[in-house]
Amino acid sequence: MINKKILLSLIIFSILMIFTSVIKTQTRIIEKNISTLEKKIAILKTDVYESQLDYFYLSSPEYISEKIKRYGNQEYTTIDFSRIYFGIDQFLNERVKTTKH
Amino acid sequence: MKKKIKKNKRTNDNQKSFYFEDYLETNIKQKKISDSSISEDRIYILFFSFCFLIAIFSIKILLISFQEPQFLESKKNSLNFLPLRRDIVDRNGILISRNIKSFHAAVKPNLIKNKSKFLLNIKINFPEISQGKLKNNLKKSKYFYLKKRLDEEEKNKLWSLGEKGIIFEPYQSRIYPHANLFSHILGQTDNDNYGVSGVEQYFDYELTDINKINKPLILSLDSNLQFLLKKELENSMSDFNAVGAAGLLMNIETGEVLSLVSLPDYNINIRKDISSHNYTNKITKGLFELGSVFKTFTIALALDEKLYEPETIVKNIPNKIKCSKYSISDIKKFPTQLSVEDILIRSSNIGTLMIARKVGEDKFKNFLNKLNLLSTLDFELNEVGSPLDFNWDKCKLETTSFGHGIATTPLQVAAAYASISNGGYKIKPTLVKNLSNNFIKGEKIISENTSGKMNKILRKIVTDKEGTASLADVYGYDVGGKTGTAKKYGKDKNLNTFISIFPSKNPKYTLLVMLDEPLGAPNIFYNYRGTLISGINRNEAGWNSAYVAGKLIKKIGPILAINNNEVYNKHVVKKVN
Repeated sequence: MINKKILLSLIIFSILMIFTSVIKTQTRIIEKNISTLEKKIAILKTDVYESQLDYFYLSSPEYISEKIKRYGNQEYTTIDFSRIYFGIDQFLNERVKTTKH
Repeated sequence: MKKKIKKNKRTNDNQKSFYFEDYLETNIKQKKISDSSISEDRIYILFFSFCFLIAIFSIKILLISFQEPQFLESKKNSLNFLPLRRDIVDRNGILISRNIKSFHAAVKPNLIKNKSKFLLNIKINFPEISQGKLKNNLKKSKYFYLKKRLDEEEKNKLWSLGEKGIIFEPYQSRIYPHANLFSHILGQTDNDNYGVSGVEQYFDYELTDINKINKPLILSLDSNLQFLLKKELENSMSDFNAVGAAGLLMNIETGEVLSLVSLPDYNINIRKDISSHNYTNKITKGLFELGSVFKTFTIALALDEKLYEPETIVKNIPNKIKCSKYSISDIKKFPTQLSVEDILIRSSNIGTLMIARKVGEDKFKNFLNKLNLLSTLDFELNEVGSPLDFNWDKCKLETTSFGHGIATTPLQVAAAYASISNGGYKIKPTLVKNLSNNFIKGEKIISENTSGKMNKILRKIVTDKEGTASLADVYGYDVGGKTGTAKKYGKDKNLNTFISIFPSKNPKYTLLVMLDEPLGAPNIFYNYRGTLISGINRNEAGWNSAYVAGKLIKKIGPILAINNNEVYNKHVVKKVN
């Protein structure tokens, strides 16, 4: 009777052990994959982090105005807000509106 | 013999053999029983040891399953960069300060085989490094720093030398992509990443909070407005030959500072000892007698106390008045009768002084206290100036009423103007963006009625023929404000200030422009009430600070998305009955 119990326990433990080892091996493989992906993400994150700094430097108003001065052929002048129209239709409409009857 | 045998037989009746006692049935049984008990013991031992092993494995598996996977521990992953300080961004999310990985170059002399070649290479690539010192350090054979805070180019140069003895020691450095733009606000950090000045110092604890390390600190500043303010002030410094300039743009309801510029400034990415007082933050730290801008407070208090109405005529205003041992006069000759609003519009010292006398010293002192003009302002920088103490002796009320004998920071005065114009509520200037939509109004200082009256008078200073700030009148933006021309002590130099509020019908912003020691600019073409004029050599706030403020409002108005009322009235069709 005892022998049967022992045998049964041993079988159960052995099966569990096999399952555990299989699961562990699979987990290790997944862990390795995740780790590789994490490393790739970390590299990309670092790239983004550094690129952001470049972006904010290159798009800063001071830098842009300097570049426009150096390379721009157009001469920019200020214009009153009231004279800004986004198309010929808008301009014509505004003219009609401003004409007092 | 037989007897002997019989005798023996009697002694052991069970004996079957004389020679093999071990083969007795009982002995065999006993032996079997003892043998089986031994094997059972062995099985038990084997079973328990097996169980023990299983238990150990199970515990280990359990422990592993409860453990955080190693790959998630970002600290151990050398590729994951974890900054020591939080980013700082402006109100639109534009980055203004960030930690990056940098390197110091150190040398292990023992690893350098050809020292003369190494010295030559360093001499060619880094001529600024002293060869004598380097030689001595190499002789000592101790680890030493060749160059700290390397930039990318320097690191590449050293890397290309291929020298085994050069060690690149990583550290985190703070980078400011806008360089000079926020120099007086942001401050700097030391080599150990501790804030040593400005916002970096004031918010040191918050910026190093590990729980918020990936969330930026959002300031109330706007990079574009800051740039426009800085550029315009730089232009004004060259136009008027001023030694310094300062500007402040603030939301008058929330107290959020949208732009704060003090010139001259400096590049905060470069470590340099700056000892000149000229580099002081003029807005928060500088203490100045700002002159006539104080008249607004005197008039506001008089109206709030219901002693006067804007139209009330003040009679018998002399040209000169004796106060204790001092003689006080106006720059220009004004009529002897002026309305209260005219006194402010024309900026009459004696008219204001007469009103202040009627208000009384205690009330005036109390009012200045309420406006935070006599105590240190609570602001998110350590570089904040404390108003100079003075005794309210014989003539103090009179001089203070028109802004003389009282030294405050421009930030305090701008905040007081905001309180006068926003319906009379006290505000606390702040550098941090207000993220909640619910804004709690501060203590009531003057009534809404008085505030409305004051806004109208401030507008008249810009539009009225006798007003001192005509050059700040920008089409569509309804600008109001007060000029202040103050003489500097011991010098024949001016400090010219203009504090504006706009749009004055429903004020949203206050803009302060201050020029330090400007000169007249006869070459400038002023658009004075629709006529272009030049050759004006007047050195008054109305001819320089107000002019600069006007130019600025024209540029920043569209960014601030103020409803341009004059354009709206002119261009939008109105429903006729």
